[in-house]
Amino acid sequence: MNNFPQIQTALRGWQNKITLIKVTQVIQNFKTIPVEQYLIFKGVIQPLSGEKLNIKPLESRSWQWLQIHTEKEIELEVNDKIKYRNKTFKVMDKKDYSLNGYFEYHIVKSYD
Amino acid sequence: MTRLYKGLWSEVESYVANDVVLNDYKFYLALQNNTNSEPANGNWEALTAISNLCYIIQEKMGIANDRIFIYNQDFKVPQVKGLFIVIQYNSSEVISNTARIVGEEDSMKEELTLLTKENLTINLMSKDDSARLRKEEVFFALSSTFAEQQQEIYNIKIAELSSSFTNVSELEGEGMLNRFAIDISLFSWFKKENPIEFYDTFTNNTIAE
Repeated sequence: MNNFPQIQTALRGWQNKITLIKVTQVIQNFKTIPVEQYLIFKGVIQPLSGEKLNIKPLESRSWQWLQIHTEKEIELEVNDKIKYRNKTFKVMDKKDYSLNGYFEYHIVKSYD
Repeated sequence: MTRLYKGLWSEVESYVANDVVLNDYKFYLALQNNTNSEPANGNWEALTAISNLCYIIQEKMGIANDRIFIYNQDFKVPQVKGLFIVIQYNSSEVISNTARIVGEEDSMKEELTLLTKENLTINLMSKDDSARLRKEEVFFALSSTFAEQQQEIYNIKIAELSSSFTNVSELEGEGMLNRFAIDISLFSWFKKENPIEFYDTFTNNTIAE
């Protein structure tokens, strides 16, 4: 089907249970109020590698970037706000490598 | 949900969700049924001039609850068809600010009043042509009898209406095809009373002889 390696086996050896809180906004009495939704899944979360950081805009390289690898797609899209370990992050990139057995998300520390 | 204005808050009256009361010169909307629960607390939400304007437009244009809201940078307008109305607070000017003493000894109060002019923008946006087709309805809503009645209840006055719609569709690129902005001004009146001491009951330092 393709020449890329299947990553699933490696991912299964590394992945942990991760809990993220996805923060969305709903409208109530003409005001937007935040609603929190727990996302619990297995994956690998780690700082963005220097190689990947190098292709980010220069001024954003000093920000706190993390990458998440998961075997299954999770309910996150670009611009979504999430909380991880009591810090707020914003989803900046989502890459669908499902043909090779994984998804990759880039998140960056955001303001609350 | 249609609001019902019930006048001054009373401890003996039973209120249901969407009742509106006046307490200490502020308006509150009942979020749930309650009795003897004096605002402000979790049963009530304070109403502002901008939310009253949203209510007038919603009622007269028949806009769903999740399609009209006060601007918040965190909220992205969903990428679905149909009209969304976002009301943006731009600035506020103080027109008058007065303080006077009312009452007599033992019941004296200072009465503070403030009149402000609030400049707002009503944004109509849609991925389809709803915003372009329905933009005139905003003016009908603001000049309706219902709007007049609401202004009287809530101590607000919709001032000068914009003479044109600003087509700002290009700001959204291809993400949001139709977007129109209408600038309006709103006069809001505020009042507050504080008990004060009569002049001869002030605490004075005694000069030792």
